[in-house]
Amino acid sequence: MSNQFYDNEFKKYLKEQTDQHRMYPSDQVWRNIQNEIHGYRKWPALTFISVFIISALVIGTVLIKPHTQLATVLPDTTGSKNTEKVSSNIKAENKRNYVDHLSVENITQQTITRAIETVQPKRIQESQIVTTPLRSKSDITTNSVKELTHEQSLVASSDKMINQGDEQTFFSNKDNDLNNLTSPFVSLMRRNFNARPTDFSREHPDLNFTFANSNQYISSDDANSRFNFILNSTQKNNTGSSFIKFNGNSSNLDFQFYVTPSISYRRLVDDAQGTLSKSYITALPFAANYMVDVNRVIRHRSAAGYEIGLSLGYNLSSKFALRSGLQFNMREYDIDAYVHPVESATIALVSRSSNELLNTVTGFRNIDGSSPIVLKNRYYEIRLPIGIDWRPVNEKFSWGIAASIQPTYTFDKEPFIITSNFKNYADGSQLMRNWNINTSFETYLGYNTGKYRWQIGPQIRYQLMPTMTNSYPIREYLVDYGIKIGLVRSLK
Amino acid sequence: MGNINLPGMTEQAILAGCLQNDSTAQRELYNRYSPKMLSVCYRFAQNREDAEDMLQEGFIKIFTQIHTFQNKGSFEGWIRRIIVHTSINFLKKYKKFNENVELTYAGYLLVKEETIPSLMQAKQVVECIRLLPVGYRTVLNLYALEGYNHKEIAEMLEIEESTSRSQYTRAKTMLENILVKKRILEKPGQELKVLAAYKK
Repeated sequence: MSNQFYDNEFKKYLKEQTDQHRMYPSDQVWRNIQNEIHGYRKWPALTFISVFIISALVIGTVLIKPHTQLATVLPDTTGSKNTEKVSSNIKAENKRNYVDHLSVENITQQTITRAIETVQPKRIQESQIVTTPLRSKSDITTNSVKELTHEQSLVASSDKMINQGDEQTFFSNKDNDLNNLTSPFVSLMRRNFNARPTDFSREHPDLNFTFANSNQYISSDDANSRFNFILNSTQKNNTGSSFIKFNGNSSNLDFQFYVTPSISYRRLVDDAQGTLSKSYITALPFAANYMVDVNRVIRHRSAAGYEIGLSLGYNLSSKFALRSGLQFNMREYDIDAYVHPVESATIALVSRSSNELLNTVTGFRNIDGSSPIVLKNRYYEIRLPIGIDWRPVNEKFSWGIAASIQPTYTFDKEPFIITSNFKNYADGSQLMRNWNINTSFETYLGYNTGKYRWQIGPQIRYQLMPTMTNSYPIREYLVDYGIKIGLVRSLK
Repeated sequence: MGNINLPGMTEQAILAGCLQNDSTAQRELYNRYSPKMLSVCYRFAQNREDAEDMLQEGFIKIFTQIHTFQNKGSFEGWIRRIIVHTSINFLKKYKKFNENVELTYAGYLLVKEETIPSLMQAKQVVECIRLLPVGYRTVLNLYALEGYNHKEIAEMLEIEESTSRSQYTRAKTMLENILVKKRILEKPGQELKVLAAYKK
């Protein structure tokens, strides 16, 4: 009996002591629980940074891509007539330098392909430019002539290099691939484009160039055996008979980077006259307030936001451009509210088939709370703007107007929404749309500095669809007013 | 929305919020009960890390199964039962509960004699409980502190009921010896007498 009494007393004593004992878990425990229940919290910056790194790499690749200066051979589009024409030109200008004599605009691609296959490079220096002789008619074998279509043939024969007087030189890299001519070399050629071969050779002895004696070359009476290597050139001011033509067509594209500090606000439209009929309101189990203009009972204030983005423009003309890109937007506005002990809150939802109630809990009141607090409705968005750009004035100083439509993905959503009785603010993330559409309109003044154009001007952005889904009867449309600062670089 | 401590939240509001999977309500529930529940876990666990793992598993169960709470009995009691079962399951993965430890084992326990109550008595008692071998400690916790009977304990730990009884008896004796050595109790096996230093 006494043992039992003692046992009970002992148990009671232990229980009293252990019940008083408290231990406080580390923060990591709650984070793990939260992650397990709600998933890992998205870090918007990671998405943001990833998107912009990818964009920057893509755009950067476009920007730093060297102008196409690779030597290419123009195709012949006119056949033998051109050749004959060229032949006569050459005869008429047989005193001109080598480069001029060799200018032919059109050679068939097929011819060139076959010609390249026929070329046998002679390497003079292992890792440097080589010279390869081009033979005149007398040096061309019968087989070579047969292989080359029409009158144009290309033959490289190392054993003929010793006859430099009869040779024409063309330039190639060590692999003798015309398409792989190095840019420095092309530039060099370009600078000496109009120089006489002898001058060129004298000026650059290190390149071991050999130039044909033009008289000897021209003395070949059969133009069919000539070798015509045409390198493209973008320099239209070069003579039409350019030996080298640089293929660097100027582009209609431009690239824009812009930042827009802005002020964000919202426009609320309640459904007092719409879907929520009076009968429905009176049937709600709480005091719904939809007959009152929501704008009169809430206190929202604008807050700062920003936009940052990249875009690529396609200039249809000097005044019109189409533009698209990728941008990140942060917009927010403030809500004046009060802290209050947590209480349940209800949001009436409207759908076509039925009316539903969303029950939640909140510790914030619109009125009558213990202490004031500012709630922030902040939205992070990724947008894909597609727009037009019109510049009526496009001189040194320009003036333009632009507009765009912007499919928008909203992430990291944490909005507070007013409850149906306008009494509380509750978490509205469940009701928020992921996708929306925004528009923008702007005008700007620009200053052109060659490849770049700086521009600045006011911008307004408006959200076309309500922030929340259609089931939430109070429709919120976000509006941003900003000053857009942009830098446009033409891509040539 | 961030972590907001809401001291005024009623149990019903917490329950309603947790049913809606509302993170604010869940945080409030956690803040309110985690200190006590971690203490429960700590009495079962070998160390604090294990105790936190038990607590974490237990609260995940609580949040995911909260819809099964039917307002029969206290909410705290329901939470506590889940925590205890989670702790037992955690121990089951690694421990055996039917091992017998001789009472002489108590003599080898490194119980530091203390004349000055450096810590609060509750903490001292808990620490003394944790000095017991895992089998004894588990049975003692379940029987003396959580209110389960030996039949329930036997089912939970998958041991014989008699084993549970004997282990409890041995655990109690061992704990008394420890408490005396720690100068928290005066004399084991007779009248329970808390030393003056520990009296309130």
